[in-house]
Amino acid sequence: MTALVELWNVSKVIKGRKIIDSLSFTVKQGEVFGFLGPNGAGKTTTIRMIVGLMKLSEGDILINGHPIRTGFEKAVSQVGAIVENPEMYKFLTGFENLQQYARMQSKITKEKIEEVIKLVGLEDRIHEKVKTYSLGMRQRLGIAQALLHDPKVLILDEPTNGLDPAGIKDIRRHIRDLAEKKGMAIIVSSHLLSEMEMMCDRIGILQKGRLTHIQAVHESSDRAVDRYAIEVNYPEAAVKKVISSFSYVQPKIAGSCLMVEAEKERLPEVISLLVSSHIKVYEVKKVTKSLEERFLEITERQEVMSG
Amino acid sequence: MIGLIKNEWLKLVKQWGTRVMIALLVLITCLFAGLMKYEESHQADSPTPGWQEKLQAENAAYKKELTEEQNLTEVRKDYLEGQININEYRLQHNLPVDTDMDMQSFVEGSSDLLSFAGLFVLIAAAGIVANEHTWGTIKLLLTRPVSRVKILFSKYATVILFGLFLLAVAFTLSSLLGLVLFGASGSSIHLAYENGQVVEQSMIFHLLKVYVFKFVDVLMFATLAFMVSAVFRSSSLAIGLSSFLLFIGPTVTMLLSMRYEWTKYLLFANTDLLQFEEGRTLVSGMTMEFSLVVLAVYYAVFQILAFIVFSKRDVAA
Ligand SMILES: Nc1ncnc2c1ncn2[C@@H]1O[C@H](COP(=O)(O)OP(=O)(O)O)[C@@H](O)[C@H]1O
Ligand SMILES: [Mg+2]
Repeated sequence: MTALVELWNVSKVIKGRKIIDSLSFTVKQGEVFGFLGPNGAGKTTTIRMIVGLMKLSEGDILINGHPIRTGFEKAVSQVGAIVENPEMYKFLTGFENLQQYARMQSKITKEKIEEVIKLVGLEDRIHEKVKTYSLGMRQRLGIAQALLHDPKVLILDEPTNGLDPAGIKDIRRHIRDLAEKKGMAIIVSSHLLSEMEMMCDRIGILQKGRLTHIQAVHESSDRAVDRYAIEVNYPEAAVKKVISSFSYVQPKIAGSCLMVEAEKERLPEVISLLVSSHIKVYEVKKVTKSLEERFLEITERQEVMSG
Repeated sequence: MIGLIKNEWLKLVKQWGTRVMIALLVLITCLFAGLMKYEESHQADSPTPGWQEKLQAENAAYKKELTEEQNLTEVRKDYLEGQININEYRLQHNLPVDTDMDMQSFVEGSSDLLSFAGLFVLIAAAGIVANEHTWGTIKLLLTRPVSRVKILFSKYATVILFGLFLLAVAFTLSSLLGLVLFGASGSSIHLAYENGQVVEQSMIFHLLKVYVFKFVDVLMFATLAFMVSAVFRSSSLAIGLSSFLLFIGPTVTMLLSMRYEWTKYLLFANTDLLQFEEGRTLVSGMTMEFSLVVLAVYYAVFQILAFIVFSKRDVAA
């Protein structure tokens, strides 16, 4: 899979303040990348740099290989975006708005406009003035606008903000479809993890302008090391035994459980050690730390550090 | 590029504010015509007899001014000489001055209404960049594969088109109203004094010249408003500042020009190109060529500022 969006050590300094601090990440074809961070972390600023609204202070951004600094028009012709709110000309109809963007780039036919209208399901209201639209409809018109020129990259900044659950579900379905069926690389930002988990393949956590963590959403089963909770009758004795033989599994006590971090293949050895030491094993559970925990852990740690 | 200008034009004329402005211009021209018609009906037919004596008296006064007035400006001198020659030409060729209201004089008189057109173009210019920021649509406009210079150029071109459109509306409408209300009876010849000779010009040519010269004025203030709009992203600042200058500038310049010669470098001393035709330059020593150069310099400064700031600046908020 080719990387369609690449950020290399991107920094942004505004009025002497470093708002974005050497960000690097890539988004591949067909992948939905979640950009997660609390308000003010710098999500919108990063997106503004990717679409060329703001200049980079340092680093470079490549879209399908075209650097945004020197090849703006080539790079941005591969990108469709909604930055913050889906702003449209309110005194024009939805259709006239789309025509505006169609005239700005070559080879967009009337059929193509109709195709995107149908895709977002706005056929019934497209000839009405945008000022009569609900937020959800404007969001859909925004997506139609972003898809008009068949971009390889789609960027949506907080697309679910202010939408009702049905609207959120709708957006989520579109995002998954576009990535899976059209192979687009999609960047979605949000400050809510629960939403991101449902639509993203990978999530990067942004904290005060730094990317502190990148992680795949669905923990792959072939991950080398997992955490296991082993419920035993004497946890203290169990810890001592395990430390003496397999210290690298980092045994710890958690209530009546012995916690270890080990490869799957190591687990039987640990268990047979316990059994041969006459410690009763009641249950063995694989513990996947949810992203939520991780996100909170990271955010809290940062807050403690800064506060 | 055509597509971009079409976009801008559609955005401009689909706003109700723009439609109100066009309607107002039509309304004002009609009102003016009505007023003129009313005045005409209350006026006795002009006394054509004795026009020769009147012109001779006029010429005597002009000649007196030429010989007795000490520090006459070049332009004033030229103007007086021109008038004397034109009057003599009239006497020789038996061409009486037409004081009746007719289509031509109505069109010439209503060219003063172009100040309104000017104000409307200024308002359009003030909004055309700043509104995109206010609406937030600038984000979509600038994330298309079109350079910022082209975007700004299409906006400026649209302002000019709008100005020409209002000019055409005003000219056509006042011609029609003039024709219907006052008839085309008047003389279709305009006398001008060029290179020491009296020449007969077609009236249409003369009227177009008056309109074009007034358009230069409109163009300069629209460009100023456009620049403020692009640089400060605020349409109210652009409207406020440039209409303030439009109304106050000429008066202040006039006052200053009595004391200081450098006022001739001010924008307002030069926007009125008819001052040379009509022999009433603000500061002595000014010529048409001088004014055109000064205007060109201001124009270039406005445009360079607008284009540099617009194409370099980060779009936040
Ligand atoms: N134009 C600007 N001038 C000064 N500070 C800014 C500007 N734009 C954004 N910031 C600051 O940058 C930080 C990141 O903002 P933003 O990218 O909007 O965050 P997010 O989208 O993650 O909520 C904030 O602290 C904000 O105050
Ligand atoms: Mg934001």
